[in-house]
Amino acid sequence: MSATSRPSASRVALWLPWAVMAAIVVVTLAVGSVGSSEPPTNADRVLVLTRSIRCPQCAGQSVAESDVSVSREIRRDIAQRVEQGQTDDEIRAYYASDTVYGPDALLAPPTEGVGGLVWLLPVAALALAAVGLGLAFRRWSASGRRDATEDDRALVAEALRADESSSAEGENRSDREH
Amino acid sequence: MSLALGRAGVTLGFIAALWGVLSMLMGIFTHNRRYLRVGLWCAGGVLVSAVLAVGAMEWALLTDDFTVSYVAEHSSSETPFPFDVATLWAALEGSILLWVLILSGFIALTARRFRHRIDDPLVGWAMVTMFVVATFFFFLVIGPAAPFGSFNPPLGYDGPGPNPLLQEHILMAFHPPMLYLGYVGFVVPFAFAIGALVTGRLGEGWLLETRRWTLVAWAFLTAGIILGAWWAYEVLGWGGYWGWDPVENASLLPWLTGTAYLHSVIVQERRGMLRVWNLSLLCATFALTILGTFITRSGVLESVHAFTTSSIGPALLGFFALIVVVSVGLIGWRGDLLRSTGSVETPLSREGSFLVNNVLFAALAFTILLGTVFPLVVEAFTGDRISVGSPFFNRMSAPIGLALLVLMAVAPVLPWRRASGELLAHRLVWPAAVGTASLVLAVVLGARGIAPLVGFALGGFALGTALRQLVLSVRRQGPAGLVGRSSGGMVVHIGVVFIAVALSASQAYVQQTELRLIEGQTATFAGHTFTYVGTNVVLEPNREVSQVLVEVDGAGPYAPGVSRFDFGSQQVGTPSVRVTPTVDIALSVLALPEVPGEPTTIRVTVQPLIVWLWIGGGVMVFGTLLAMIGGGRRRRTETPAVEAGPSLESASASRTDG
Repeated sequence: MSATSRPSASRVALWLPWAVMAAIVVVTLAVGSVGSSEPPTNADRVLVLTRSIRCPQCAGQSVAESDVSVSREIRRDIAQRVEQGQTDDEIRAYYASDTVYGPDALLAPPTEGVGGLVWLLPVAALALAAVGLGLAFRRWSASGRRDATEDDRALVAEALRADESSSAEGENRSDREH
Repeated sequence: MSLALGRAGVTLGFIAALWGVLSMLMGIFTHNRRYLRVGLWCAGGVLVSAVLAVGAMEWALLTDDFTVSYVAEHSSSETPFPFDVATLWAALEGSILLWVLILSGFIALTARRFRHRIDDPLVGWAMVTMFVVATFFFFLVIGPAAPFGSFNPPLGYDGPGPNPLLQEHILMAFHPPMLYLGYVGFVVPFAFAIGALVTGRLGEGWLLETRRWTLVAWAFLTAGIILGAWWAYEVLGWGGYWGWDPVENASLLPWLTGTAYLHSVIVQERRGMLRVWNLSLLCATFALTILGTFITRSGVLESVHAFTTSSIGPALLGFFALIVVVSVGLIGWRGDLLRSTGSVETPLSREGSFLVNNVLFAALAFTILLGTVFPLVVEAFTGDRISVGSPFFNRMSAPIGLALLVLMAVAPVLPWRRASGELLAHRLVWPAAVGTASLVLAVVLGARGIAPLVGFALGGFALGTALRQLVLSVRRQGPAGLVGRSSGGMVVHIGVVFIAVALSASQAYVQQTELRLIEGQTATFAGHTFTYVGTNVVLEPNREVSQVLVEVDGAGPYAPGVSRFDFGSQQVGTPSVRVTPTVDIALSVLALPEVPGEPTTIRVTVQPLIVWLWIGGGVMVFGTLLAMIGGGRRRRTETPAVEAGPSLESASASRTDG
């Protein structure tokens, strides 16, 4: 595994395919995202909108999912508003206004106020967990270096060698090797 | 007759479960094997009682015995086979009865499997735990959710039948039992975790004992969730399969923690680390199944899947609290024994990647749980009403899902302890080539948009890694290299990739419209033609289906319809789907023609790759089966002897008379 002992030609052979693949991926992604910049059709917009507005009569479904008559009315109304040239934000704002169905008509919770917490907390929790994990790795790493003596290392190396000799690459151990 | 038998069943079951708790406790504290053997008999008694109760209920459903309240409320003489059998799980009381039956089955199986080691306190406490759970659920069917109420049917009475949505598709006969087998199956590893905590035998023995039980539960839960999505897709008729509905989320939560556990437990088996974490994950998984039942069955959150509400909410919430308090208390109490000496120095190692996996799964579970209960919490504290629906869940879970795909691509090739960049570059070059090729292929085929393309590329990468590991394993061991935990796991990963790619594609490229057609008229949408060719009426015993015949691209006709059930005026749509490997076209009727000749309105949903969701689910279950064959043999024979210590002699003695 030691990198320094390899001749540089094999290093090139090792990394060259990666450079080529990286170039292909960048180019392909660029092509693939340029093509998508055309504006969404009215039908697409209606679908996204109807899936983001709650059916006022049913249990947690969007108007796109529900088949009750009020949902059909709202679907028809949204399609009409899209035809008339209203923007998505205008249409959402209309349904979320207090005179129509109120803020809970939107299935995406608000990003401001108390509702914003639902967006913030998962990100914060993930960040916290990542930091905690990073610290744990550092601590383990440090204590690992301090505690292990040369004798320990020799023992471990020997045990690992014995353990891994039965699998071809010393990886992907299956439980069935005994 | 059925009523009396059913009542006898649930009452006897309650007594047997309670008796099981008491005699196992007596046996453990007095070291008297006689009590323990009584406990084993109680396990059998619990199963017999549950079979009696469920048998009585099924008999009542099949014979339309309306003196049983559950039958009177939820069945009808015209409910056709097999939906009358499936009516058992069409409403709350029957569902809990099914839960009781499955739980009793697991208890009896555990008792049978471990009957020779019943005087091992670890097994004893596991049995106590399961009997406590059984006592609680038998209590539910006796008291708060009693299916065997008495009803005095007036002359000529006929019941309303189960909810029409449940009579629409044969999948309803399989999806709930699968899901319950998964939910309840986690009671076995949970019970052994509690047993390990109480006895302080926190080594790896109990993990190995329950490895297959956990896999079985996980496979059923996976199958149950996928079948639920399939049912929603085939029946609800809006072209979707996953609505982030509270019931769906409740089934996903234990799956996420259970999946995290299946991965992190490998680190504990191999390195003796993460003991607290693994115990916590198992306890969380079981607690989440109870919490999920509470959320969905108590009526605090509404859902299309929650067909009834009832008064069992407080009981379930109390039981959930008990599980959490006992688990946290035990883990805290055993904290000193749970400390492990191992260390993980870098995320770039097998164990490090399992940790990252666990962080991601835990974060996803937290996000979904938070999103599900958030509206309740906000309303309770501020009085504001807000909704948290699919836009939130999609946006939050997509990045985590992509990160998990990266992990699936990289982690399986990582060695334990530490990896170098060169090693990874060497091992990952072919998987990366597969990923690159899938990306290029997708773009050539016309796929556009960053998000789905990244999904396809990472999916291909993960697929390449799984295939690489399988190929290496087969090269080493021949066909036998396909079974065992590692290879089975890789097959599961392939199923996950299918699902991930299908999700990316169907989310990004779904197209939907409503077409208003008069007979003979043809419309074009998303490159397909739809011709309204006529109508049809199908009369069935319990319903009348008015169908609209539509030819899609000249093939068919497909016959989406609207069902009118005899009882009441409920109308339910019956979608029709043209399934191909590349694209699904789902049709549902929004408005029937009032009189012949008038136009009809149908909804058309065109979604690519949907069928790969179901295939992926099948591959996942198949991979789990492969993982269950073989594996864990080595230590299984040793550990009980080493761990059981003092009770070894009695254990071997019991083998002769058991």
